[in-house]
Amino acid sequence: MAGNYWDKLTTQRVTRRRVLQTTGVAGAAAGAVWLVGCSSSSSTSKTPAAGTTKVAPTAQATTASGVANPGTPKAGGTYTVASTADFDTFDPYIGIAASVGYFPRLYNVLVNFSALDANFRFDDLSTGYEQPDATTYNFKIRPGVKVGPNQLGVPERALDANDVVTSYERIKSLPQSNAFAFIGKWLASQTASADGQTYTLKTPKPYSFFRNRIGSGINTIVPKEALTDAVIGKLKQQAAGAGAFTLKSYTEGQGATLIKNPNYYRKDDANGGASVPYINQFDVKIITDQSAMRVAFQSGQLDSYTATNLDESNQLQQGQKYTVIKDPVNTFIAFTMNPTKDPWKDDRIRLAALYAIDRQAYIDRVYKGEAKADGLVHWPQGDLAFTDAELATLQPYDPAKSKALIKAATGQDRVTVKVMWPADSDIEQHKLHLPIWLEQMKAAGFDVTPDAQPFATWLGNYTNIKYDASLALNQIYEYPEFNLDFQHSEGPARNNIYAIGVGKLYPEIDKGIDDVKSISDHTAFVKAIKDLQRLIYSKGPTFVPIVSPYSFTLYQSRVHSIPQGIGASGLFVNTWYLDG
Amino acid sequence: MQTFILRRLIIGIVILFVLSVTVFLLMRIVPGDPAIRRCGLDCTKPKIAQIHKDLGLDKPYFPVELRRGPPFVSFSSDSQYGTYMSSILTGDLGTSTFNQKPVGPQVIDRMPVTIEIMVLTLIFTIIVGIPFGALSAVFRNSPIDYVVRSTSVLGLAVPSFWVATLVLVIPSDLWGYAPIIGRKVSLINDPIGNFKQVAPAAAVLALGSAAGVMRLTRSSLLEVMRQDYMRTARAKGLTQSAVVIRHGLKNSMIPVVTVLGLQVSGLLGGAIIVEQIFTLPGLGLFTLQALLAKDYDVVQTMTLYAGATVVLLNLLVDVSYAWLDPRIRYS
Repeated sequence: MAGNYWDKLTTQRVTRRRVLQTTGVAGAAAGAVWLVGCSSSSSTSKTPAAGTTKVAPTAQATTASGVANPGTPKAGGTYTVASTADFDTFDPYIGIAASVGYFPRLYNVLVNFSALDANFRFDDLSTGYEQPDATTYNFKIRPGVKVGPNQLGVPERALDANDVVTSYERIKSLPQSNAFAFIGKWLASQTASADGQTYTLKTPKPYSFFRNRIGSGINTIVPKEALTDAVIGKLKQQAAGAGAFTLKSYTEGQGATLIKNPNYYRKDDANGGASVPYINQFDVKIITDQSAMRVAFQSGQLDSYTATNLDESNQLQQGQKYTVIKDPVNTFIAFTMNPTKDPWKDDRIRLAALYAIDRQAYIDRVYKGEAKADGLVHWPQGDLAFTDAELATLQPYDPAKSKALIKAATGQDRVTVKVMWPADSDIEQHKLHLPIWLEQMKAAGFDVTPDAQPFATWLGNYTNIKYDASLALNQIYEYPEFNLDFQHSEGPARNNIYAIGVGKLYPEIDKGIDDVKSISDHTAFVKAIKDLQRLIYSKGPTFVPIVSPYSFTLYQSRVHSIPQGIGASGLFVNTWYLDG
Repeated sequence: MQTFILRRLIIGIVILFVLSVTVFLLMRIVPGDPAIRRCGLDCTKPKIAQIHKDLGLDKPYFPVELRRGPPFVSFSSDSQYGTYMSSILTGDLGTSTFNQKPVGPQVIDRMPVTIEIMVLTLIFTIIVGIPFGALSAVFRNSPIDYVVRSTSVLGLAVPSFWVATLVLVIPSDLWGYAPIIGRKVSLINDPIGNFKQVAPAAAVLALGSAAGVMRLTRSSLLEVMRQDYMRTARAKGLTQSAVVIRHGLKNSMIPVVTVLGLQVSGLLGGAIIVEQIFTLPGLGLFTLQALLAKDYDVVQTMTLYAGATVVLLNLLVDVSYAWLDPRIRYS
């Protein structure tokens, strides 16, 4: 989902870290998280590779079989992580900062699917659903998903379909909600059965990304008592849900403590039906500085830390016994062009910029080889992305061709372009990308007039599309919907902000983007996504992702059974444990 | 004395008023819109307008505004600055535009950390700066003097953010040790843990301050030691230590106290750096985050707070002159 997760908040930029810092074991981000200016790499954004959890649809309990540092689970202990961003609220529909990574811990979704592992499915508040037709979803509510102890006065009762209706109604009433792009735009109607055990949702038309959207942490279900006018304001500091953890305390600027929900319904079938989560307490510290976070990890104050790059990971590993998880990351820096401005109106100029990018230089110089080239859909998206060989044809690095295109378009050997970027971005990778990008553009015939802006200025101009071109954004997109929407004339959020896509020049691209969202058959969907990308390539894309790296997250050796390979879905899995 | 204090307080209020207007204007002149941060990816122009309305940012800046055309002046009973000042005067420090929580309680929550850092820094500065400065003066041009002077130059030369990073990283890399990071340790419940958490940050801040005080104490004491009354003190048979401590040091303290007063106000700025690096949830970190988020009410409040602190400290410094040197009279 698209997120407001700016926050990086801001605050983070202070420290050069990210919006969602390490959110815990298998920390990950929501569908789409914008990280500009926030901090860097690591953290959360890791979205693991090949998933390993193989669970049949509608399975009642899912345990990630792809785990690092496995062992025999033990109950107890406090798991400590850090976040560079503070918790802004525990209201999942308006949260934009660190909170986003913890909504899956505190609340429930109907069902969650991993965007990275097609076989991973986490049936949560529902035991499964059926589709009588392409636009109707009937969810069977799981009995016994019981609200945990809380300070909001919400009774410790089982959630039912009415809670889902109330939660989604609230999202529909909040256009500023992160979840509005899904619930607000794709929820045509919803009903709860009289007994509250069945929830029915209808979309206006088939929606290909339904599986990605329905299980997002920002669509989590809040007990209806917590959404009353009298209580809802208290969600700023408190929470009440039926998730694996309950919120024990929160101190502004310092962190939050989550404790095991004694009412949590889930059991670990792989361990004799033991209650999960295994840990008693989840301690989240707000640490805004990367060096301090690293030091805290080295001194044992934190249980996990995401290194800024491979070098740091290797350095930390020397003489230590940390568990290191290498995951692909659904994040990338992108170059965005405005096709309503000269010279970007001209297809040839956009293609010249595309061919100017030598992605291998970023892979080698920024990520020490631990990254791969992105196409319009980034490579961690698996079969929806093109292979390296295909990309070599579609977006070859060819500065001579760039120059020829510039010559053909302008009659000149070189073209001057004004490009803005956030000058005070705290994203390490952005700082490293920038000189390489400038160097490559120059070599390909572009004279870049630099327009480095303070982050707030850049953000304002970017939001209001007051730019010719922009290099920035460290985005986390767990599925390709937003990559494609960036090429749409109405922009990534489809409300005419942030970007104007090449669809502005070619309505068939807009149509292609719209059509692909309603293809149900996976094979046809993959083909359509690729055909659409080819079409965009032929016209000159306006939004060009560069490379996506791997992340290196280190865990203290006492952390076991760390789920991996399922991306943000790992936030729902609580079979990891501490030993020692 | 009372008249002097009253006059200074009135001047202080004027200064704070000018400061508040300046900061208020600067925050709005600097490009960037706090509403956009609140708005996010699904942002629309009507939504931004609604947030502006919610935050009161759709009102005119000041109650009185000059216009280019007739009637040239417009008056508004409901302006941003007017609302802000009336809130301040009634004890309401406003609401954070970022987290939408009242500023007052957030300031109070964070204040103890910053006060601790400042007090510890001041203590470190005094117990290191003054004795070593005095030693340097007493043993002028001796190896002790050279060492003290060299150290003070080093202390002034190295930037505190760099020292802070070293203080944090080196013990961690070498011994796996680090002060408690990321959450405040209660001074009441765990005073030792609290000291371990705050002392490194204070020590880093004190490095530069102590170096300055050291040099000033040395030069000031050297100046005093040339005075006739010092010679008289020695002539009447007092020991060297009694001469230096009882007569020399006290009389050399006026410039040192002045500088200490100024340094305390400067520590507010330093706190931003060390609180950030050591992740201490104090006012410095709070201010920095607010600045980056263009959090109007927080920045305005913190600036006023810093301004008021400087005004009061300067007043205290001036008053202390009379105590340090009885020849000084305010009338």
